[in-house]
Amino acid sequence: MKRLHQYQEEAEATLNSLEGLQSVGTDSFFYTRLRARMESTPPNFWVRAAYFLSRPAVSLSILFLLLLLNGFLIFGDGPESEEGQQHDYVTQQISYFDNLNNP
Amino acid sequence: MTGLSGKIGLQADEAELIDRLRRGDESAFRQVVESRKDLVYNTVLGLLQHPEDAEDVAQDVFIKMYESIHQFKGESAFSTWLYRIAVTKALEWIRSRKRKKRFAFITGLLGDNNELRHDPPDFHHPGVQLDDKERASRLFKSIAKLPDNQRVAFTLHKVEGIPYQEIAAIMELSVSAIESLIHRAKNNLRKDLEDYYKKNG
Repeated sequence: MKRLHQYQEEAEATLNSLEGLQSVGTDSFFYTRLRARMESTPPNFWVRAAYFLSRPAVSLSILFLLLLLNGFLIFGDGPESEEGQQHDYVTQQISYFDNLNNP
Repeated sequence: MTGLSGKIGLQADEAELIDRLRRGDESAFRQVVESRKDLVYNTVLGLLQHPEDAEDVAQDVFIKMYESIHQFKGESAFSTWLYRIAVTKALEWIRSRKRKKRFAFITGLLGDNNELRHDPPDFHHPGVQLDDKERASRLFKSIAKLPDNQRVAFTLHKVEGIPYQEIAAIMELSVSAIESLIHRAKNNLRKDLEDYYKKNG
């Protein structure tokens, strides 16, 4: 029990160890380095686009949309093409009987 | 003055400075960078716990600010907006480091041991009092294990000394949500530290 209390005190002391933390500054010539970096890497559309597309949320969303579109094309077209096939079959039958009647 | 306004020194001519920034005035950009570079660096350093990378990310913050100044509508203070960019950039970096770490684990399984490259050494914040250095280093290790939201709220409050209300504006959450995040962060830290001292006591 005494030990547990000791651990809790240690944890509390560590939790308070950031009291009186001093603010720190950047090294000298930060602005010069920043300007140099901005001039050496002009914004490139394709690099940005590639970076954007490589984000997991974006790439997974695109993949999901493609799968959705794929599924829609496969299953969504089913009844329509069946209808088309029926229509073709009826047309064939009519032309068959037409041929029989008018040899 | 306290908090952001006090720290940055919100000036009456801020609107004019932002207007000059929008027009691509280099001297305005320099003025903004020189007056806010330490604040941005400090924020990013507290979150990243890595001095060299903190400088790179601080540069990213100013580049992003320069590129997206046209999107700044003035709905919040300019400094709040800048803090928001700093937090977003720092979190992007933390996530990218986590991805690299996971990748290093996979390549480690395949025989190419990258673990040392991706495992950062103990972080000693240069602003910590000498007597508290070891304890603070241990605390930063525990902070790094917190979920992102708790980590950001706790760091902004404890390291940057920003009041709850201004953290709420930066994180676009309510004050009670920030109170809850910091409360949960403290509980998680206490638990992690107690476990550590039990193991190493």
